[in-house]
Amino acid sequence: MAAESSAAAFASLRGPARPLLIGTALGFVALFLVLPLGVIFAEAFSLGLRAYAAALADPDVRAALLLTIFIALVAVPLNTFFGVAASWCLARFRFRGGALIVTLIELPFSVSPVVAGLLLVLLFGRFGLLGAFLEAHGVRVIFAVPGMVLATIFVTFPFVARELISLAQAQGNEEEEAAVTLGASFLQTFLQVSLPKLRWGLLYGVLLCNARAIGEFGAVSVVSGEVPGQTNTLPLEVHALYSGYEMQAAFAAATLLAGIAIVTLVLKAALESRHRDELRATRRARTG
Amino acid sequence: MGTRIEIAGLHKAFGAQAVLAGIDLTVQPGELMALLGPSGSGKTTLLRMIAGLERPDRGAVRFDDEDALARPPRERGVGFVFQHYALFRHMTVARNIGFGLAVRKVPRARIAEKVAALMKRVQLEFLAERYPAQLSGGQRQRVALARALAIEPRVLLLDEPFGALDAVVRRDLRRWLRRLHREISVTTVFVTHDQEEAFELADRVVVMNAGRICQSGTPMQLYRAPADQFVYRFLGEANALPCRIENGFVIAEPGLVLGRAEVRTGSGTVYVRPHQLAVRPDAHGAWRIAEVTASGPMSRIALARGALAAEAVLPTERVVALGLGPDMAVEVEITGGMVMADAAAAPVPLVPVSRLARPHLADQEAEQRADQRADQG
Amino acid sequence: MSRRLAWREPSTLPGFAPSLSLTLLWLGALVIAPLAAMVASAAGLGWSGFWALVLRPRVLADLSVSVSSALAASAIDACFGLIIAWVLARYRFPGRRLVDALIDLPFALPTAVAGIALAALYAPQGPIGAALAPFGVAIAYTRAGIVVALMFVGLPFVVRTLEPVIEELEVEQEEAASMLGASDAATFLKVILPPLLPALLAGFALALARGLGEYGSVIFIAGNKPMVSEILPLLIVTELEQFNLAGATAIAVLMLAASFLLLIAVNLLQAWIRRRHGG
Repeated sequence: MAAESSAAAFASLRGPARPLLIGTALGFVALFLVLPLGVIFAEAFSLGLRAYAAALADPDVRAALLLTIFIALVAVPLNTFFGVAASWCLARFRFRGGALIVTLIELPFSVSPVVAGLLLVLLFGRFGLLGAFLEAHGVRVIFAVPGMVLATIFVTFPFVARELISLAQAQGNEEEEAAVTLGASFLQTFLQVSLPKLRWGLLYGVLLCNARAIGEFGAVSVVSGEVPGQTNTLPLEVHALYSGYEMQAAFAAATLLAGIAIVTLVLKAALESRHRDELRATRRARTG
Repeated sequence: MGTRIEIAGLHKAFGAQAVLAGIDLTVQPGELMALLGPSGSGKTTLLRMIAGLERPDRGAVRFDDEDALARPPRERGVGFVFQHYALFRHMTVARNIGFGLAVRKVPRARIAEKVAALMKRVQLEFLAERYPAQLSGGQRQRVALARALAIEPRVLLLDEPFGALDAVVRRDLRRWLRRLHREISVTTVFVTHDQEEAFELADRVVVMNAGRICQSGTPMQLYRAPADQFVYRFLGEANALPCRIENGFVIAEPGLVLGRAEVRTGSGTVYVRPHQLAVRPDAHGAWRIAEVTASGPMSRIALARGALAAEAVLPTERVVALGLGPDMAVEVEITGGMVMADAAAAPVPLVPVSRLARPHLADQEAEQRADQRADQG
Repeated sequence: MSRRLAWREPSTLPGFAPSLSLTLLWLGALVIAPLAAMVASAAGLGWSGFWALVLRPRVLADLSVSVSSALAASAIDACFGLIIAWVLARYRFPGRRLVDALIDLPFALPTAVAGIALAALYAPQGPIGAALAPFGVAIAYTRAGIVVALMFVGLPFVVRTLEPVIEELEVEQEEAASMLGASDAATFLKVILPPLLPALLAGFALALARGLGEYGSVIFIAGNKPMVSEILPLLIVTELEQFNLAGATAIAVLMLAASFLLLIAVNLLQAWIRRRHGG
């Protein structure tokens, strides 16, 4: 960064201000970010290693973990596929309504997860728009796994789409145009020219999408009904355990999620430092 | 490989903005043509239309009597070299060049052969396994060209091919492209805003402005007989001296007769190129030197006479030999120029006073000088 | 003369139709259909019915709790977030990259996990709660707890929005100010802060929008006492549990409207600031 050497050389807020600012920043981060992370592990192991292992072996926790993984395995690939489609038509072509589509894609970001869950209830629930139709065909969406999958998809699909759209727009169409003049078909152009260009942005988007899919709470809680062993994802199970005053078990389950979060952060940082240029378009304000 | 390109009545507007306002043009088989003009003149849009990367609102494009517009870009057999090369960043040089052959399902051995031959031709044999990011600008340009040539196009199009390169590389590549074209003689059209480049490379130059063709012809034709004021001014620097024309005599403001021209009585402007002003010291001269700026082999002399101002360009050696310096009184002889009457559309050659005074001698001299300068471009 | 479709530029690249249809299919099923369901539902309430549901005392009280907490949290985040973004963008110190990665923790950590961690920390028996108890300061189970939870969630928005803008600041301008005799404080207020204001505001707004709708991080540490320390999203869940779909829908519409208004207000404010300071 150009600012580095100049700033170090120059007296912009040097002197007493500098260590004070660094101290304040570090203190704030320690207090508000590090401590919460630490307390998760402290509480999980507060009753010893054996209790920790026992909590993780609990069948409900196991079931919740499997359900969480299942939902992620469904939601992430689907969102990736449609995110790629969206990035192609929005980045390569200009048409009226393009901006509207981008706004709609970003909608889940500005909606409270609880409201997201409610939207799905209003559509698929017993008294919802499609309620009668689904009942007649014996299909259960709300208070069942399909609803939870849908809720997760809703909340996480902007991640991949957004990343790819801004990256594809920043990269421009020239290579694709060159491929077309050289005689390539759509599939050849897409697979051999476009996709390789997007691969790091794609990975990044999938990483964020996955983290959110695993961790989603509000929306899934509204549509799930929280039946232990059946319709509880891991975050929901954590909630259930905590509400039942089984603190240590709740935190033990939470360590799994915290572990995934840490791995996500590490991979994210690695991607950002190694492939900064290929994610450049997305360094503008990102939202959760 | 001589494909003739015929363009008729091409129009294109983006919203209310007209980008091409009626283009009619024929490119002869094997010709090397330059589309020259300032930015916004529509030259790149025209080029992209020939390739199929843009579509006209109306008009026709034909390759050898075949309707090119009916075919999508991938079927037109056009080789396109982009301004910023558009190399596939995740493929090696060899794969880039072979791409057009690979998508046509040419057998791999054959592709390797052709790619090797092309890399030899563009003098990049040892870079086959490198990636575009590891190449210099000039090398990337040659890869882009090789890639376009690999498909044996019927037409080769280049969009500002040397714009992003530094001056030395540009000069070398220009010469190299000229030689290459002589070898393969495929119909080639390139876009540039650099008049020098267009003149050096092209068989024919088409000057465009605001979506129209102002003039098309050989470099010499354009230089000698510009069709309008825009072409004249675009092709080189010019001093503009306001004047009056009375009975064929061209008179600059402070009662200075510049020469004769076939123009009706009225007002206008005389355009004189800097090298068409001959300067020599003269204690009684009516002109005064305001400033002398040496810039390498040629020097600029800023001149003033009353309200008139002009700039001459002379070889530095001559400036030194004559001892020209600021505030010196000099005599200035106009050896050529064009007259643009306010009411006229096209500039008309000025027959300078010097030639009128000594007709036969001046004729020879002036013609010699004019020829020299036209050749220098 | 052939007339082109006015709505899009004729394309030279292939694949427009399939990619657009897929995208519209996805959006239609996932975004438009649920929104339509909500609109239909809300419409079914009728204008007066809607307002009756929205103007209930509990709803208004919870709205005020949500809004005031989110405002406070975002404001604090804005101040400290500016400091953190500045420190990360301008200074070098050991562990900088670690801290930079940690900023995204609230993005990566599931909200429920954050919720129980904060609750454990600030509960009367927890490390921080116990430390503050002698001073009579209780955080967990009060409004203060809500603010703390929202601070955790909103911080990355402020920092990540500011960082790139700070990186693009021209150091020469600060040098010039110093040569002209400005003190550090003056330089900060007059040269550094103005170009940062739009980004700061954007980060604040993003944190605020997120804070209004946040659920999982808050419900463990908040008191969840109706009218006192209950957030609006929780009320929606409660209404749903009591099968009061109408009530829940009305509140959801209220929340969406609030987010929408917030978005517009911030955009206008940013545009105004940009005009004042010449972009």
